Amino acid sequence: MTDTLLQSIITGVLMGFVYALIAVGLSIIYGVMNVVNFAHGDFVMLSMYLSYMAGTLLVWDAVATPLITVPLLFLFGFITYYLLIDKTLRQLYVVQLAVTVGLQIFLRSLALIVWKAQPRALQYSIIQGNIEFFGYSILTSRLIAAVVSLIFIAAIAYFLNKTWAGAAIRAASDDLDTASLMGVNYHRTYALTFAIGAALTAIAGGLLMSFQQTDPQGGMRFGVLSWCVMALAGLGSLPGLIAAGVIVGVAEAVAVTFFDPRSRLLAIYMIFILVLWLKPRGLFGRK
Amino acid sequence: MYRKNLFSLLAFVVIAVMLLTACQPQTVEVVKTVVVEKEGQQVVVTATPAPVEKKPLPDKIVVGVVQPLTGTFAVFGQESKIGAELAIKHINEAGGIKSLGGIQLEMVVEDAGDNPDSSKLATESIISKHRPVAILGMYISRFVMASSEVTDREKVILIADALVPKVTQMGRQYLFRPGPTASDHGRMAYNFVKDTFKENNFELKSIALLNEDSANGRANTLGASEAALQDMLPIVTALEYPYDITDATQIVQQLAAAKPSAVIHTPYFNDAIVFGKAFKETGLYPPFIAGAGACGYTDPESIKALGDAAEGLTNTYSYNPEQDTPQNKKFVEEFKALKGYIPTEAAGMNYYGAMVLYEALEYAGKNFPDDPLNPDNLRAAFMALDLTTGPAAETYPSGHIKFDGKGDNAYPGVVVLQVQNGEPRVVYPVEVRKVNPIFPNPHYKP
Amino acid sequence: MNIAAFLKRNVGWFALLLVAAVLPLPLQKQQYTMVLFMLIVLYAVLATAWNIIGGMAGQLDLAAGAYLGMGAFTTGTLLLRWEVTPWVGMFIGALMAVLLSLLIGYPLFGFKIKEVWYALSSLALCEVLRVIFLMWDEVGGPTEVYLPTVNSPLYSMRFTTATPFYYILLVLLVVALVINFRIRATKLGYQLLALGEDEDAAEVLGIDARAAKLKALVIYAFLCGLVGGVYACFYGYLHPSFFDADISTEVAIFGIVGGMGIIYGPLLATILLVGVRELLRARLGGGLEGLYLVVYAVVLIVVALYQPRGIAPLVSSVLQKLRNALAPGKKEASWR
Repeated sequence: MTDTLLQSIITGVLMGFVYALIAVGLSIIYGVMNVVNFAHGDFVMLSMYLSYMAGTLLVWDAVATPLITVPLLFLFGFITYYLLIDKTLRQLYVVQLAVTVGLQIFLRSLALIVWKAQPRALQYSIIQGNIEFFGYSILTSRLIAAVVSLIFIAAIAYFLNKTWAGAAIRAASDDLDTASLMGVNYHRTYALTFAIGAALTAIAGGLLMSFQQTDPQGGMRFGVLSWCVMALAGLGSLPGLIAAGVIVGVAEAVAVTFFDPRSRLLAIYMIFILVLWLKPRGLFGRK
Repeated sequence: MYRKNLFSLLAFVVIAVMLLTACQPQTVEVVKTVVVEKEGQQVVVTATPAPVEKKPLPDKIVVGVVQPLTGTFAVFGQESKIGAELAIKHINEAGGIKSLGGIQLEMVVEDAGDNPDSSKLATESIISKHRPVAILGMYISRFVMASSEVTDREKVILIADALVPKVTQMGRQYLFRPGPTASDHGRMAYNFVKDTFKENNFELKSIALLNEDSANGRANTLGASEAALQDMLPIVTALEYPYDITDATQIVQQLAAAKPSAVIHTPYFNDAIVFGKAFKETGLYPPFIAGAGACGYTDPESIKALGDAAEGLTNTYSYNPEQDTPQNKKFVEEFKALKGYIPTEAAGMNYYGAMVLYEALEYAGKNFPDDPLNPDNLRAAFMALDLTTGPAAETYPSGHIKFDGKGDNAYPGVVVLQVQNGEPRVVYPVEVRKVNPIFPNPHYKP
Repeated sequence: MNIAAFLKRNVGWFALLLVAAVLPLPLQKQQYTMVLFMLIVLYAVLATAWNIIGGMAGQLDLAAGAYLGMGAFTTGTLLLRWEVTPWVGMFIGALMAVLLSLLIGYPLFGFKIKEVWYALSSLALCEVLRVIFLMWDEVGGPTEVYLPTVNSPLYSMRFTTATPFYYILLVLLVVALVINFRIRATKLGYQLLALGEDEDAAEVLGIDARAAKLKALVIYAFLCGLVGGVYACFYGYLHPSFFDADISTEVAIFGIVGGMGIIYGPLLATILLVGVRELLRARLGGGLEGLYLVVYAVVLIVVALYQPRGIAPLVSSVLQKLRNALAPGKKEASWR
C-alpha cells in the first residue's frame, strides 16, 4: 500500500515537472500579453506530431526531435502572433477567445486530416528503461523528461531576469504604455513572447513523445491541464508553477492508481474548479 | 392581449404539427409464419406470403458495405472492406449466383465514421441511395446496434462482424452474425492459457484480468472469468482502463504488484501498443500475457510498432488464416499480394460473411424462385443454412455455420495467434496449429 | 394589438415556420435528408438557447453538452427504470439540467469568475460529467445503455423515422425563439445586454450581475436539457459521450458567427454552417474527414476579427434593402 503510494507519487512528481514546463509557456503569454491562448494544449499536440514526423521520416530518436521542432514551433508562434493574436490585442476578450478557439479547432482538424484519428507513437526511445532505487522503479524516460524540463524552466528564468530581451518582456508585462514610451517595440516583444511560449511546448512535446502517444484530441488534455497548473500557481512565479505542476502530476498519478484509471482527467478538473472557487489568485500568486 | 395571441398561435402550431405527424402513412403488413424443420430442431421463420407471379430480377445484386473507413477505427474498416471486396470478386469470378442464372454481385461502400450516430446516418444513406439486399458491416458493436435499427425497419439483411454478445440479443429480425462472440473469445483465451501452462508443466496459480472499458472488453473478460471460476482458479486482480489511454506504466505496475501467473488482456487496438511498450519499459512481465477479443497484440500495425516487444504476445482471432482449404488459400494469397501481410481478423470475418450471403442467395434462388430477393425469403434462407462445405465453411475457423434463433452461429470458432519472429502464427487449438506456442513470455524473468 | 397586425409584423417568421413545417412532406422517402434537417433544427435550438447566456449576457459558455447530456441521461434513465414517458421525462431532465446549472452558476458567478475562467470552467464541467458518468456504472458506464420501447412508440418516444423528432425539435425551436423575444422585451434583456457590453460598467450602474446571469444560465440550461431528452430518444441509447465538448464548442461557434445577441443570428449560422458541413461530407466523402472543421475554424476566426457583430447584420441589411425596395417609405427594422 505505502509502496504503491510512494511509487505513484514518484511517477507523479516526475510528470509534474513536464506539466510545469508546458504551463510556463502559457503563463508567460498570459502574464505578459494578457492574451488567453485557448489553443496552448494544441500547441503541445502539434509539437508531438512534429516529433512523430521527425522520428519516422528522419528516423531520429524522440528525445532528439526538439532540435527540429523547437525552431519550427518558434516560427509557428511568430507567424501566429502576427497573423492572428496581434489583431486581437485591444479587442474584447470574446474576440480573443473566439480567435484562439478557432485556432484550436484549426490545429485539431489539421491533425485529423494529416495524421488521421488513430493515435501515433514512436518506436522505443534510447532513454526508455528503468532504474532500481531503494526498491522503487524509476522510469528513465520520466526522469530525463523531468530533469530536462527543470533545466529549461531555469533557463527561462535566467533569460527573463538577466537578458535585455527578457527585461523588455518583463517591462511590457508590467505596463504596456510606459514600456512603449521607453522605446520597447511591444509588437516585437509580444511576438517574441508568444514564439517562446510556443517553442517551450516543442521541448515538452519531444519529451512526452519518447514515452507517450498522441492523437488529434490530445490537445484538450494538455490545454486544461496547463490552465489548471497556471490557476493553481497564480501569475508571476516560476517556482510556484513548478510546485503547481507537481501537485497536479501527483494528484493525477494517485487518482489513477487508487481510484480509477479513467479518473486522471477528473482529478485535474476538480483541482481546477476548486482552485477557481477557493483561491482565485492561485496558491503562489504575485499579482 | 399580445401574450394571448402568441399562445393561441403556439397552440395552433403544435396542433398542426401533431396532425402532420399523425398523417404519416402507417404500413400494415400481413405476416405468415412458416415452420422449417431441420435436424429435429424447429426454427420459426416469418415470411410474407409469396406473390403469385414471378418478380423480375435486377441486373445486379447490390451488396452494401458500411464500415468505419475514417476516424479512430479506420484500420478495421479498411481491412473489412478489402475482405468483402475480395469475396465478392471471387463470387463473381466463380460465376455469380448460379441458382439465379449467374447474376453478379455489386458492392457499394459507405463510411460509418467515428460514432454510432454517423454509422446510423451512413446506413440510412446507403439504403436510400442503393437499396442493397444485404449490408456487411460496422465492426464496432455499438455501431451495429445503432445501424441495425435502420436495417430492421427497412428490412435489409445485416451481416454483422461485431463480437459483443448483446448485438444479437436486441430482437433484431434481419441481423445475422456468422462470427463468434466476445464471450467465446474470452473463454478461448482462458482455455489456451490453461492448456499451454499444463503442456509446459508450469503451474497456473492465478490469473489477472485486464480490459479496455467498452462492451467488447467487458464481454471478453466476463467470458474468461466465468471459465476461470468454473475451474476455481483465483483471479488476483481485474483492471479496466479507457481505450484512449496514453500511458500504461502505472497499470502495469499495479498488475505486477498482484503477481499473477498469467494476464488475460482484452485490448482494442492502440492500447495494445501502449501496454506492450509499458511491459517492456518497466520490465515487469508476468510469465504469460494472452490477448483476447479484437486483433490487438497480433495486428500487423501492433507488431510493427512494438518490434521486439511483440514477440510471444498472443491474441484470439475470429478467423484462421492458416486454414488448409483451397478457398482460404486463395483468399490469403490474394490478400497478401495486395497488402503484404496475411489477412487480419476484420478482413477474414467479412470474407466469410460475404460468402455466407452468397450461400443464402443460392439457397433463396433454389427454394424461393418466385421472389428470391424478398427480404423475408432471404431471411428464411439464412435461417435454413447449415454449411459444412463450400466457400463460407472453408474459411470459417470451426468449418460449420448454422444460425440459431437469434442470428448467432451455433458453431462458433476461435483460434489463437502468437507473434513468433515478427509473424503472427496459429498456436491454438492444438488440432489446427502448425507451430508450438512460445512459453513462457520470452521477456519474463523468473 | 390584434392578430392581423401581429401576423403582418412577423410575416418573415411565419413564412419560415410554414416552410419548415411542410418541408418533411416531400422528403418522407429520403430518411437520410430528413435526419440532416432534424440535426440542423437540433443545433439551432441549442444555438438559440446559447444566445441568451452567450450572446446577450456575454458569457462564453462551453457547457451546452453538459446540460444536453444531463437531460438525456435523466430522460433515458426515467424511461428505463420507471417507465416514465419521455414526454414528461424531458421536463424532469430539463429541471435536472437547471439544478446542475444552479450548482455551477451560483458559486461561479458569486466568486465573479468570468471571461476565460468562466469559459474554461464550463468546458471542464462537460468533461467532468463525462468522466463521472463513465465511472458511474449504475446509470452510465462505458457501454451504451439502450432505451426500450415501453407500451408504444408514442409513449416511449421511440419513433423509427426522424420526422416526428423533427417536429418535436421544431416546436422547441419556436419556443426558444419566443423566449428570446420575450427576454429582449423585458428588463432582464436590457440587463443582460448591458452585461454583455461591459460587465464592470453594468455593475456600477446597479445591475445585479449575479442574479441576471444566473437567470440567463437557468433558461439556457432548461432548453438544452429539453433537447437532451429528445436527443436520447432519437439515438435510442445513453452514453457518456453525450457530454460532448465538441457539441458545446460548435454551439458557441454558431452563436458567435451568427451574431452575439441577435436573436435570429444563431439560427442563421446553424443553417449555413451545418449545411456546409454536410455538403462537404457528402461531396468529399470520408477522404478529408476534418475539412469541415477547418472551414468552421476559418469562418470563426474571420468573423471574430473582421465582423465581430456576426453575419446576421449583413443578412439583415440585405433584407432591409429588399423590403425598402418592395415597400418604400417604411423604415423599421423589426427583424431584430
